[in-house]
Amino acid sequence: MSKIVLKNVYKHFDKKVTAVSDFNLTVEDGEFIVLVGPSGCGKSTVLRMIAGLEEISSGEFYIDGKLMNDVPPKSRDIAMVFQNYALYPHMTVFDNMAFGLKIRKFQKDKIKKRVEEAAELLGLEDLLHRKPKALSGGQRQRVALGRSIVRDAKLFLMDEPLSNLDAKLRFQMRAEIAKLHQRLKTTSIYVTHDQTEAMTMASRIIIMKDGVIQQIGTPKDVYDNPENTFVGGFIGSPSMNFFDGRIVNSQFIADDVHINIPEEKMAYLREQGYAGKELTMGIRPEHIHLLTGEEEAELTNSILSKIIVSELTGADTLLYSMLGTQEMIAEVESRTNVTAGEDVYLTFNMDCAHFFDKETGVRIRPEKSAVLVG
Amino acid sequence: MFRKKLMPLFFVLLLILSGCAGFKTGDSKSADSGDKVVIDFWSFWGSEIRRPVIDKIVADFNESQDKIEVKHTFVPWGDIWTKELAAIAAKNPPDVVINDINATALRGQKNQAMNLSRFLEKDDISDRFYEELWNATLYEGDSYGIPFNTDTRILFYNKTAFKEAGLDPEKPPATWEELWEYAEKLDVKNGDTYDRIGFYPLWGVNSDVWMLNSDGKNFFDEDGVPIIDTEANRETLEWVMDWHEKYGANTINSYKSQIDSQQGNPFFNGKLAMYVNTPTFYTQIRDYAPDLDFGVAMLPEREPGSGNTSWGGGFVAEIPQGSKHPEEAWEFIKHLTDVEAQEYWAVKNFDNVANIKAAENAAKNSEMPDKDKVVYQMAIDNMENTLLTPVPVHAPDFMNLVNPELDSILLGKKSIEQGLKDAQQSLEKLIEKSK
Amino acid sequence: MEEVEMAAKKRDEERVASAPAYFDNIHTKRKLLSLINFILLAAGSLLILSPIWWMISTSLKSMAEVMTYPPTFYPHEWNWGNYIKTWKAAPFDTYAINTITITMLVVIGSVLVNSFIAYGFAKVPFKGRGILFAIVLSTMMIPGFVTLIPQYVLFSKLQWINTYYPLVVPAFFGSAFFIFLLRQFYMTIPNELIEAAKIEGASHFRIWWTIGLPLTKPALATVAIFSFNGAWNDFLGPLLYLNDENLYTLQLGLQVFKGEMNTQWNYLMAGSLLVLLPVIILFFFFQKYFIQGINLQSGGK
Ligand SMILES: Nc1ncnc2c1ncn2[C@@H]1O[C@H](COP(=O)(O)OP(=O)(O)OP(=O)(O)O)[C@@H](O)[C@H]1O
Ligand SMILES: [Mg+2]
Repeated sequence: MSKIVLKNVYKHFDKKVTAVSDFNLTVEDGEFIVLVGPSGCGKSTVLRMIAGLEEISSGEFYIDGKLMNDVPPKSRDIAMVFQNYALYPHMTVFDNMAFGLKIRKFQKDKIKKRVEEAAELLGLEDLLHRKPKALSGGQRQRVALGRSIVRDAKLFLMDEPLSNLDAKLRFQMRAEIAKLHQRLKTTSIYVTHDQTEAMTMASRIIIMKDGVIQQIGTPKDVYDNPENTFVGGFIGSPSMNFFDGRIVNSQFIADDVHINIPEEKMAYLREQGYAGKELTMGIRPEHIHLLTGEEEAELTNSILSKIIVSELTGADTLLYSMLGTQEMIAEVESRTNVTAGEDVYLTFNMDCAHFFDKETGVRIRPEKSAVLVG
Repeated sequence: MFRKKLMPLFFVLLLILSGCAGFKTGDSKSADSGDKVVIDFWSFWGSEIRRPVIDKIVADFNESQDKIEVKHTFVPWGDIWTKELAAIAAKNPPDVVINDINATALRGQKNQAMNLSRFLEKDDISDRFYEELWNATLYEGDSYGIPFNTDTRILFYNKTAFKEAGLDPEKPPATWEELWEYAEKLDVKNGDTYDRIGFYPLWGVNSDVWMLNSDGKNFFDEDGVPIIDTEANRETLEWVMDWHEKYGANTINSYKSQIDSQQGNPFFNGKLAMYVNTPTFYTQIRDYAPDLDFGVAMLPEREPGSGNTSWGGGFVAEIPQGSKHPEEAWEFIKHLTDVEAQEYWAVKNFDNVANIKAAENAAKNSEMPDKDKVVYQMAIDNMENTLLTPVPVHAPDFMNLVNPELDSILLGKKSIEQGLKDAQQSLEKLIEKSK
Repeated sequence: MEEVEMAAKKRDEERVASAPAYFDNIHTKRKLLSLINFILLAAGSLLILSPIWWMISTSLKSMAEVMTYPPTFYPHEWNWGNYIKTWKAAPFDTYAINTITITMLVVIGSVLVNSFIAYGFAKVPFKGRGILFAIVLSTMMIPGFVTLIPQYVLFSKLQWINTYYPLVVPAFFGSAFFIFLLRQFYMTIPNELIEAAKIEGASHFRIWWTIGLPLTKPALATVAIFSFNGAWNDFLGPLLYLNDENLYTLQLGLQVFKGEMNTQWNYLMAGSLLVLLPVIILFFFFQKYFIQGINLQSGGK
């Protein structure tokens, strides 16, 4: 059981590429941390530095208070699952799982016991004598998991372990991994670029971009209070809507559309000098509602839009339209039979809207941390 | 896994190896034989026939005195000199090696063979040998190897075929003209092919032997000046080309590959009536065509009075530079080239030896059957006509320049005049450069 | 009218008759094609095998028959005894044992050492790796005869002349070609496999031994065969370094049949065939491995 700390960690490749900059993280014992971010943002690099497969260019890395920078991988007591499983093709499932134990000179019967236990946990009992070639993708994935759990390592690293599986299997394995973690409670760091995986599995999510951490927080936290436009746009599907506009007289004006801003928000926007300035408003599709009666439209903060595409996803329907010249998506109940080409009234739940600095993309917060709830 | 299973295997392997002779280091020769000086002697005589003879000669020497022990090692023919060169370079050579007589001077010049003058001053044995052989061992007047055996080229002819063609079997052709006439008579043509070929000059020897025969002159004169573009050589090549046209390339090539490969020879079964080769070719007739009635003769003259010049070679016993026991090596070489050993070698191997007395004795030796004696006597007699072509020290590889020219002449790509002229020029350039 | 009927009937009959003929045609065509195929293949094989036949036939002839002109295609008298005489013409028992000893060591050395070095170049990052590899490769460009004498002098200084060390020890220092070959093979092994093993606690040596070796089997078989062939047929090495005839190898032993004037072709061929036999057997044995190979990706996607 372990706690890990990364302090001001940098990674440079060939002195030119900086893959990771100033990475700071503290992981408490038993946490399930998920690292997300677009391809090439440095997720794998962070994981590989933790595993010891990649040197840390500068900064410090501790496990349970012990500096690990120069400790070789085999002495870090870490287990890792790779994206392509990295099973040894010439060994049986049993031998694949027993490999690490043999190296650590466990006794034969003990090895057998541990491997069988893990196999049972993962439903691999009948496959122990097969070679990886004779397994399906999901089975291979399970063997890879099994191989890392038999050793009972302090820290569990997983680098996009599900990305080679089809959607259904991915869903199933996701649940299994979650279950496994609940049972074993091993501190885990999990890399993915799939935000659904991140949201469903993580105790805390780290969102990265270009080697820099954008935000760390619980799934709910990063969803509700994105630190910047990048996080807002990255987390959540469909993506948050962003509109560029100006604040004039307590109204957000984008092109020729005027939207009233609630007074409490307006208060800190004004306080921070954004009145009359350009900024970006963000609002999630589920916070845009469809109005039915025209009278209602008169009363509330609503706009008339022409629906371009209407997309039924199951429980919901996505309505694509334009706010002035800017694209807009609304997520509404699927029972509403709005079709493409129709003119409808949409209204924004402005309590759940966020405002971002236009230049930096950073969210504008109420100064005295009066937290918004959506 | 590794330590458990493999380590013992390695140890066992090491154990086996340490017991194996091939893994004992150190000087192999000083180990045995007490106070005797052991000298290493390398030869390429490893065959069933040669080996016992040389081993007996060595054994005789070892028994004859109690100071020196000769250890004879067979090293494959041809490669023996590669090995010798490496050993000389490493300053750890054997003490006596059998080597090519024609390159002896070159090895002297290159400091590979030891100058034997200091031994010869005390023991002048030079008059044991044919002068032509002895001269070939000299570089700037000093000898670098002692002649051991030699050879020459003589004409073998099929007496039965002679009779069939109405020729006198006791009167072999004496001139090139006669050779041609005889061949015409001996030819038996069957449609486009031949049942018997009279003679073709380039089976058994190359055109350079005939150029030597034509005027008794090598490609270089005494002063090392190239003399390849001569009237005699031009005539020789014209004569060779006449033969070439006579039989045609197809016939010639189909026989040539066989003769060159030394597997099968049309002379044995009468398909070829006359053939030039060394006297030891006789042993093949003896062994593979015992019923063949044949005679031997000197090479014919180009024209009456031009001489029956023939070509020879041979081997010397030399002391490589860096030998640790040259005195003892010298003692052994003396034994090797003395009458007794030489006669024994000559009789047992039917080989021409360098020692004149031994050669003459061998021809009269009671162990030799009459037929052997006839051929052997011819070989001895022919030594007077025999010239060697020692490698010129300033142009050791000159044949690499000459051969392509000769080839293009024979293939009809160049005229004889042009080819010889080009050869002459390139030799002159070569000499010019190396001086 | 009748005529028309007759004609129609005739046509029908013809059609009926020609149907089997048509099928026959296809049949014979196919047969003919496969026959031609067979003949071509057989002719090709014969062409390739003819030198071998020539060796066999010569090995069974008497010397007198070898020397007949024109040559006989098969021996008129089958001298099986030639093989025994050949073997007894020189101490071939000793030569065989010597050759086997040298060859085994060379094969073991080549397979293990080259594989180990190749693993290093392929999977262990270290400073100057690229330059070092280039240097190793560049040794391939040096023609053998350039190093011949210096190498001989070196071994002579080590007092290794007339021992097997010069023939065996170099195999334990790797050869550029084998290293290159194996490195190419290692490059196809995903890095993750190595990294996974590293994380599980294996040292590089261990990874090489338990993962590298088994996964490169086909390439190792190739190296084994090449090095076997090289050591078994090596002529120059034993020639230069061995002075004691008791240490001689088969290839040197065969040379007793070649002389400056005469060659005992029948014995030489018999001997050459005997020496060739293990090589042929080995090829047949390892052929499988060449073809088989291991699908390295099988553990992955
Ligand atoms: N060995 C290397 N040498 C040079 N650059 C590298 C190396 N490894 C990674 N990089 C670079 O570092 C950056 C981060 O790579 P990394 O593999 O960590 O991305 P990632 O977030 O895991 O991406 P993905 O989701 O595609 O796996 C990329 O720009 C990549 O090109
Ligand atoms: Mg990655």
